[in-house]
Amino acid sequence: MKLTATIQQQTRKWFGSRMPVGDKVRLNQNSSYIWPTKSGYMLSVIVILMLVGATNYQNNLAFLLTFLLVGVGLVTIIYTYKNLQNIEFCEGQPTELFAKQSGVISITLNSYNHENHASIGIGWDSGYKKGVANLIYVDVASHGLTSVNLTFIPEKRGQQELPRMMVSSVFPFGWFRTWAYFGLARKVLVYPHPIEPPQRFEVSGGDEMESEQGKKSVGNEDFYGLKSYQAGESLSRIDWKSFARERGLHVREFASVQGNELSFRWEEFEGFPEEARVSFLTYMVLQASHQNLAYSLSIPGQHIGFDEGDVHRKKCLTSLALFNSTGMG
Amino acid sequence: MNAQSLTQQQLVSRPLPLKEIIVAQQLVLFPLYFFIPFWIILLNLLVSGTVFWASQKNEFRVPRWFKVAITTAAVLGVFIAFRKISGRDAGVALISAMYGLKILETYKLRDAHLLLNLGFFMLVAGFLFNQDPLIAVYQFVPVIALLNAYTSLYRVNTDDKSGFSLRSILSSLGKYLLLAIPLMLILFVFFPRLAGPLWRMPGSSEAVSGISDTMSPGEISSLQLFDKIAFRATFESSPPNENDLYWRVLSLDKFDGMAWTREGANPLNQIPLTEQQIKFDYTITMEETQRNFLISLDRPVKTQGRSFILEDFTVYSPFRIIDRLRYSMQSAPNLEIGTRLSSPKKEFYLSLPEGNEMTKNWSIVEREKYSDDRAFINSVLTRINQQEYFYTLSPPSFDEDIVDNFWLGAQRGFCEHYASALVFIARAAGIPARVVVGYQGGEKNPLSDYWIVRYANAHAWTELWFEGEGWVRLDPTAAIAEERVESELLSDYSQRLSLFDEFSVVNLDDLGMLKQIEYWVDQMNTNWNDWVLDFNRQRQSNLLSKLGLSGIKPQQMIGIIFVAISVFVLVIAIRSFRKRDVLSPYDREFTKLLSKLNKALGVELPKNIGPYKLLNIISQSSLEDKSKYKNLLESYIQYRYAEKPSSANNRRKVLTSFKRLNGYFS
Repeated sequence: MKLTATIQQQTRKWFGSRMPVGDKVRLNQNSSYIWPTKSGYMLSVIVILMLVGATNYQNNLAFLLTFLLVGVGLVTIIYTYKNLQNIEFCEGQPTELFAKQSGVISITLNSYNHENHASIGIGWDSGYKKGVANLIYVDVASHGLTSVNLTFIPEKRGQQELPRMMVSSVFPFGWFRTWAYFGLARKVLVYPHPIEPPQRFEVSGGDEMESEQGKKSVGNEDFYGLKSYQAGESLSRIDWKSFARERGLHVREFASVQGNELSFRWEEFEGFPEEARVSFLTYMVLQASHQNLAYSLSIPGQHIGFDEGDVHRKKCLTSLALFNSTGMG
Repeated sequence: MNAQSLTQQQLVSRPLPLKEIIVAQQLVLFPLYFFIPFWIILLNLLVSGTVFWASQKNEFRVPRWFKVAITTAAVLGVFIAFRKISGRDAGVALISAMYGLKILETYKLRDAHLLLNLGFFMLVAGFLFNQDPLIAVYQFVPVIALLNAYTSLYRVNTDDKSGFSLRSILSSLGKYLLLAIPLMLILFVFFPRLAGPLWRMPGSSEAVSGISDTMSPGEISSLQLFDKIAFRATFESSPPNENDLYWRVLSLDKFDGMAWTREGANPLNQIPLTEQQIKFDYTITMEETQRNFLISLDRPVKTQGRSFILEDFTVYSPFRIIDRLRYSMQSAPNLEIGTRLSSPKKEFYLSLPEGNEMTKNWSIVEREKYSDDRAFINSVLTRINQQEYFYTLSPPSFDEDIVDNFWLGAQRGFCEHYASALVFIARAAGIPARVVVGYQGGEKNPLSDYWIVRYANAHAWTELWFEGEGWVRLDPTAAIAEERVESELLSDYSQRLSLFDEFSVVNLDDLGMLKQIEYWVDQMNTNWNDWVLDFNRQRQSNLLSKLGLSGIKPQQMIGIIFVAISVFVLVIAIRSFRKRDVLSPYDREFTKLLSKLNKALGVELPKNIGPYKLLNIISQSSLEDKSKYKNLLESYIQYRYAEKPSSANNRRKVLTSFKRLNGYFS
């Protein structure tokens, strides 16, 4: 079992080991492959049956049709392969990505031979399971750009390389599958995975955390408050615990802090592992910016002063994302 | 910006393009519809219609019991109609019905693939019935429909109907066929053929007319099939005189009072052929007869392949002729045969059944008047010539004593009556005799060097045995009107027709142009037969030896196929993968505009200038008609940088205004 797994891994590595990598990628013929599909095999059996029939009945029209089909099949190898070539792939508009959360990477496809490329499947090579790649299929128009949104769940925060990409197509006739690999050179910035800090200052005084971390309690009483849920707000922010206690739907929020600006400090979560602290702070930054509050962030070696707005938010998230990210293996 | 997209799951599980699939399926079945029972056609159309209707109504699914019931009914129906489900006709009817019903079981992508792949096989089934040039051309229609159905399985953007117009289908799929045709020809010429079939299939139920192996002159004959072609003959050198064109098929030597049949004959051991004999080499392309006898020019001396000459000088093939067949032969018309006849044989050729006593007596009495057999037979022929013996295609039919009734009664009949009567008279007079059936004459195609022989030329004559001479051919029908054999090309028609008082006489010579077209069509058919339908192992090796590849082995032929196809495919591949940046026509026009503006403005604009910048420069320049440029460049920008691909119509507009503007400068 282990041996086959190793062989599989090695084979996968070999496929696409010469793939093109860049910001704008055109496929090369060193990492493009083609192989018959099940339908292709089925058709070849039918061709053999037709040949037997033609020979048996000495029927030259049957021979001609069979040979025409063989000819179409051979030409199809070229055209199936060609359908995948001559497309330029590049990364589209970047979107915010958080570690361990489902995000979107947009890929732009552009036909640079100005021909239509129908039914092009594109996706992550890592999504390849049980012989079926989880690809998204689009028709690439002869003119203009075509873009695809791919779901991407980053493993870690920081500057991350994208996994290699796979493109595949069986167009036009589904007799052959051609596929290829390429890599996008540009790294994407992944913000940390936001985790809600432990809740210890709730009115009810939940006891779940106290046994472990009671001593290390930080923050102030009115750090959090509950606000009635308004339709349209994100479900992830609903305080399910209070819902379970039959107090109705509430949304966790920073309690309003009149003139008292928020400062998110690394030291507040002393005793927690580094990654947890980063995640807690990320959560708080997101929460505060969602409520359009001003806040400051201080992490070891870096202090970002009180401010609000998208630029500030981005700055804070970036520094959290990159904090010690090199040491993260 | 986001184009229509589908996940793998969606692509596999979305509704199938049933319209395209059903169209392809029906186009595949269409040629078969001429040869299968009508109810199967109805069933197929009904089922396809139902499935298509059901697909339009999402909630409706054809219930399972219905499918089982209809399939069972179809199998039973075929069995009842044909009393069997094997054999060509029943088999094809069955697979046509099954293939039509397959659409009921087509839900998934793989079902659709099976259905479409089988379509190619079904096309072959159609060729079992019909191999006309027309059907060969027609086959491209279902092939394109099938290919189109495959592509519609995978096309993501199904809203854009522009890809589904007939024109775009033809232009996108036509290239596959155009490139496939040279490959097809390579394979067709070089693919090794077998000499015979792998196994014999039971023949068709269709009755084939022509020469039958019994002859009963009392019944009305089947000479109505005038125009159907029986065979074509091409002589290597100059053909024999037309009145020597006796094409021998069968000899009939047993008479039961009503019908002549043939007793089996043994293969001939040796042919007493001498160098001085006049010999003719020729090739015959005969249509299917469902029988074993080959056609040869009287008298065959050399035959081809597995066929052989029998003692009665007919040519026998171990296989029934179920396809159009081509073979070469040699004949020596003046060959003396059967000079020595053993007494049991002599007795056999003299045997006569009871009945027809009047003719028997007449013959014996008449024979007494002459010194030898020859003189007696001559007197009989003279009688035919000088007495009121008529040639007619609609003679009275008789139930008994058919020879008496003809010879001494009605005196009207056609070749079979005359041949039958002469053999009867000869036998009664002690002269061994037999009937020979085959064809006489033929028309020469003036455009080419071959003879067409039709069913209308079917003929019966006699062979009488004279001491010292062997079997001698005598044609009593020719005695009616001597001109018959000597007359022109269309002797058969004009001769026969002019003798009928019942029919108006049509002189086919007057149909000059029509006849010309007929010959032309026939020539085309002949070429089609020669080069396509009859391209068998022998023709293949002939062609290959003409190409300087004589004696080539099948392995070498496969080798040639591989090399030729590899080269061809490689050439297409290289042509399609040669990397080059294609400037779109719009960008090309833009560059052109730049260089024109350079001249007009007298400045050197940077080559990589974009349309935005150019717009600025123009607005500040001294050019007239700035709005014109502005409009054009704005639409160009929209086309070039828009997130949504602009419509084909818009693009065309951009291009034409570019061209107009560039033309304005020059």
